[in-house]
Amino acid sequence: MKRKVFSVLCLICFCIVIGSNKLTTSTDCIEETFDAMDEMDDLGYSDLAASCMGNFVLAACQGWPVTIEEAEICFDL
Amino acid sequence: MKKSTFILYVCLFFQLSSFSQKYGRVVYRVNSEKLTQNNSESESRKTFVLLMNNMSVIRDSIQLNLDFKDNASIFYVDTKTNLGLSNLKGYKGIINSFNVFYRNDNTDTLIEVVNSDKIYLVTSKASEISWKITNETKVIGNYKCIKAEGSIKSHSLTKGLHTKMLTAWFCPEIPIKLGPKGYGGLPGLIMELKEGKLTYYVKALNFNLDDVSINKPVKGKVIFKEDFFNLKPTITTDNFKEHIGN
Repeated sequence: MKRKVFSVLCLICFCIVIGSNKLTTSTDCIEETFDAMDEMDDLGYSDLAASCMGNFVLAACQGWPVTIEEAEICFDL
Repeated sequence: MKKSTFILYVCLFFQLSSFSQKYGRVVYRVNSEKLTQNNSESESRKTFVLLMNNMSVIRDSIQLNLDFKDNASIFYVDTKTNLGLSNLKGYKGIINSFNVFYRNDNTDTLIEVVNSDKIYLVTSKASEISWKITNETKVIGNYKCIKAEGSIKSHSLTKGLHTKMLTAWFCPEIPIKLGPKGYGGLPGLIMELKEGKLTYYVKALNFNLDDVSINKPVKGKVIFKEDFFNLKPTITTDNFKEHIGN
């Protein structure tokens, strides 16, 4: 019985790990980040500013609480 | 008929002689294409678009000077204007996003001053761009301009090494073979240039300056354009996590 409970718990943990991994590598968020960095380049911003903004876009897309004021730091690099 | 031809020649003479000066200043400004979004897009996308469009307001108010003398020219942000904007958040970054370009047609040299981890003097040939002059014309100000299309090698984080397309409207009536960002080589001043989502346009022409000094940039590491591109990373889906999100 204990073994079965342990197996179920392991399975749940495995699913959580897989699920969270999917969240951080979400194709939609990567695409959104790529698009944002592309647009930064088209608007003539530096690679430094574009990669900084890419981090903010990815974080915001993944649900982290990111404000415009925080992201503005990318323009002061 | 002969009289009208004579008047035409006289007008042409005065027109050309007024541009026979070997030095002057062309003032450019930028028009940034606004980013768009629709209601079905994510909140993060909407926030990004809002931020970028706010920054474009600052960017579009900045003045860029093209000073030229003999066969040398320099293109730079005029930090003496728009002082009222200098306290705005993002102003410093936007100023820094416009690099200085030095062009010398005598030596066929173009130097872009790139300020990243250190100052690089990215060197290439001024004649690198090959332009294709089209039959399309339009009037800009009082000048009839001709459309030309060009391409140039470029590098960006997400696209890597790629070819960047350019559209220029040059004016043969102003026989200055220059333009914004070190572009030039067309038989007339580039009055309008579209590069990506940015359009540079002439705001003012000043051929009545007392003098202009063009100083070749010397402070920084001299590097050829191809070598500079090799230093820059390219982000792909495979190495995405190495660059973004850490």
